[in-house]
Amino acid sequence: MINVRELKKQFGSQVVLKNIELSVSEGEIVVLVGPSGSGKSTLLRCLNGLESPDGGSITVGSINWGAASSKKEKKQALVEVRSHTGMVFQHFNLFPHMTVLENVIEAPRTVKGMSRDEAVRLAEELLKKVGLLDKKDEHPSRLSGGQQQRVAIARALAMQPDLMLFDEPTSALDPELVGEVLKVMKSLAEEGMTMIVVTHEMKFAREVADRVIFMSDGVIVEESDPESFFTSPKTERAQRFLRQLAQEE
Amino acid sequence: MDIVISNIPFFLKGAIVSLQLTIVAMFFGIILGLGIAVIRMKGVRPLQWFAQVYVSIIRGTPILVQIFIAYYGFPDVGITLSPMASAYIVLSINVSAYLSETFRGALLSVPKGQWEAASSLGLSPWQTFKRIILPQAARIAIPPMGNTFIGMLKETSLVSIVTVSDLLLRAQQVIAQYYGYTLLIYIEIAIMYWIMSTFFTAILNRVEARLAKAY
Repeated sequence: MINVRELKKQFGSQVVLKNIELSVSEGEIVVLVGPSGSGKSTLLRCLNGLESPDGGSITVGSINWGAASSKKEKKQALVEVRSHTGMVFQHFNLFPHMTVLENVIEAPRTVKGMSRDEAVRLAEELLKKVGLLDKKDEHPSRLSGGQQQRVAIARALAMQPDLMLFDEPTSALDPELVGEVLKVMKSLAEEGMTMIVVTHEMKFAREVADRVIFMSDGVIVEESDPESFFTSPKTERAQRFLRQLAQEE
Repeated sequence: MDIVISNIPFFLKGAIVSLQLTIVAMFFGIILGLGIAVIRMKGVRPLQWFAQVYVSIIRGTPILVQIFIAYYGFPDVGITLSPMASAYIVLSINVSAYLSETFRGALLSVPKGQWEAASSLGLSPWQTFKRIILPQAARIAIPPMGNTFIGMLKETSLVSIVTVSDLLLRAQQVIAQYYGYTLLIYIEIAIMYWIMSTFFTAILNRVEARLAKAY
């Protein structure tokens, strides 16, 4: 479903991604781990065009674009990709001037031109799924971080995506609120959603991932099934990373 | 004293002219100012540069000089404007330069994450601007916009110099007719300006209080 070829990205003179090769098949759950600054968030952001690649190409479904695409081609591709891809951010990025319900119906109404009734029905169903139907008329500022992130997930799902990207979805949360968000993500995984998750939650990675990809300094250092990654990492870098994590805990 | 009282209706008409100048200047100033703010942030280089120079010139020269240029200067190049027309144009342009700075600050204060979230959901840049960014920026811009409005109400008095029949010019006309009323009449119109300012300040304070608790 996703095919990334020789992806390069740099900010100024700093090279953030070096020749990334990545394939993800439909229904697969891929977890990206690695030290901060390793490029995992940038890789994720390239997949829906929030960052534009300096080299290589990206295929999502039947849509293809890359560094060689013209501005117009890229724009066209991103419109397509974004309508099939949901993204969840570290800082939720809910629209503060709208209620929870309005946040969720915004994109279906504005982008897909869905009728209000239909959008509300869909939104209520999704809010129920993330356990926040009773908060639908609140503004985001009245919600806890965990609740906000669940609304953000519902908002992304309202576009009925085939692929969900999670960029450190629990990193900004108080520890006691992490569980409720992971639970929603887990149930999404069980429904067969294709997911790429950047996270520091190793327990989640171990339980939910089909594949763990370890990145460091802009390259994919190691990828394997979660069991072998966590019990017997092959590279010295991954071993060091896991040791450090264990020490912090 | 009867002169002070009997001229109130005459002065009220002048006050309406002042208010009208302020409202029209604000209306066009908002549209123009928003356009300039967007150009300065997103426009191509030459346009950005042009907008920056525009703002710098307008803010860096006295409004009275701008009025003289429009009213007395433009006829030299074949553009003759009525006093009222030159007042409308100069005040609109002047206020647009100040408002563009207000708008730019307000637009920049909306976190980048809002753009990213909206575009990741598939909203076009224009949809994002209109539905997500502008409402949040407006909330931030409204209090300084109110202050600009009140400031403009007072600055309109400058256009009396090019014979726009505003509150100040009418006062001067009355003073010229009667001997010994100079101080009283000027105090009278000062009070009228003050009442208008206070009235709009009160409205602005209420709006600000509402905005503060809106979400």
